[in-house]
Amino acid sequence: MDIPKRHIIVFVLLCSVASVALAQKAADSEAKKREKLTYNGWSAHVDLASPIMGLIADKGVLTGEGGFDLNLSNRFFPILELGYASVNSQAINGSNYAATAPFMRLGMNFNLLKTKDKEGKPKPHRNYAYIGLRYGMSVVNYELANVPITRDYWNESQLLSWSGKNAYAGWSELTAGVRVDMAKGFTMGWSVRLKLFLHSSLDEKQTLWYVPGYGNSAGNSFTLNYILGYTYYTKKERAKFKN
Amino acid sequence: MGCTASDGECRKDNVVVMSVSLYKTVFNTEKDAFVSSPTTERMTVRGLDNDSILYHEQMVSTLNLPLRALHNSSSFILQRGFLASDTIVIFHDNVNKFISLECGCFVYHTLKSTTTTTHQIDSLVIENSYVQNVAEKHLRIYYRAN
Repeated sequence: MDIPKRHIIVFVLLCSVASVALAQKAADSEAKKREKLTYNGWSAHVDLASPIMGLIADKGVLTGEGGFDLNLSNRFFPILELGYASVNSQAINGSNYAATAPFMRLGMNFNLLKTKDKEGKPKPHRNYAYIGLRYGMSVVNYELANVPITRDYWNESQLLSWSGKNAYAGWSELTAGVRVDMAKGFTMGWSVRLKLFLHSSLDEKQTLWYVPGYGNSAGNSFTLNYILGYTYYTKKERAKFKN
Repeated sequence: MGCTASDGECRKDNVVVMSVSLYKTVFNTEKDAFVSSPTTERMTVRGLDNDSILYHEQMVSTLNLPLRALHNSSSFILQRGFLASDTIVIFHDNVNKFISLECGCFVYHTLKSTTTTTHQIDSLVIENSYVQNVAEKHLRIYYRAN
């Protein structure tokens, strides 16, 4: 099975899990009537996997990213992720691609654990598993150089180059992971992401070969994140933990 | 961490060729008319001004011919058996398509027109003008009956 097919299967499975979870949540909320969302705190974190693995696995790719999310009713976690990446990659045929760009993702994580106990009282979580959705975007300055055209039989060869400034790229992400609160609000977590390239401002989007924050634009991208950060809980929420 | 690293190798066949089908026109006495049908011939083929032989006395019904990537016409010399050779000229547009960093750029073609000498060849017919996929047939060569 090739990688894109595997990604599609993983994507379908994650979508199925997501739809079941969301349907369950919708049913619960209808049965118990809608409740007001309560602000319970925030969390800020940085990703350690991206820069480390960028240097080990994606040679020539250097990425740094972090995020900030809000805790609403311990169920919904709207999140903003910001990052910056540079790539400088060369193929055996001499082609070279260089790009630097900031990127941003907006989305939401959904806590998969029950937020209320059997008696209907709020059940605070310091640790939770979640699924999430993101929309990612990046505005890329890139240079694609020394791309060969060869026609050996006719002894023809030529090198082509493309470059662009402020090329827009957008993609979606489906993510699943866990968050674990360690002592004194320090948080760590793991997540996996399946990324689907949606659109680009370029007519020849293939020339935007690597998009910071996304990866290789030719196909789906599968990534891992390991985060460390700090989580703040409101006074009211902290009181629940003491009880 | 991303699974997006380039290992620098291209896993696609980056040679785009024009697929040419051979036809022979014969007189059908039952129908009392000339009819054309696919034929297998012993062919020797090379590009014009090119010493490298693409087919050397091979029994074939289809020829895969590489068009020029940096010029808008490609000429080939075709010899059927040991009969007089013909020269065909294909006029085409070229479109450069970036595939990936590993594979570089593919050159696709759009066939515009053709000319040929008529020692053995009766005519050329463009069957599919867009040359991108070798699975498709792009040109027919109609040989006259001997």
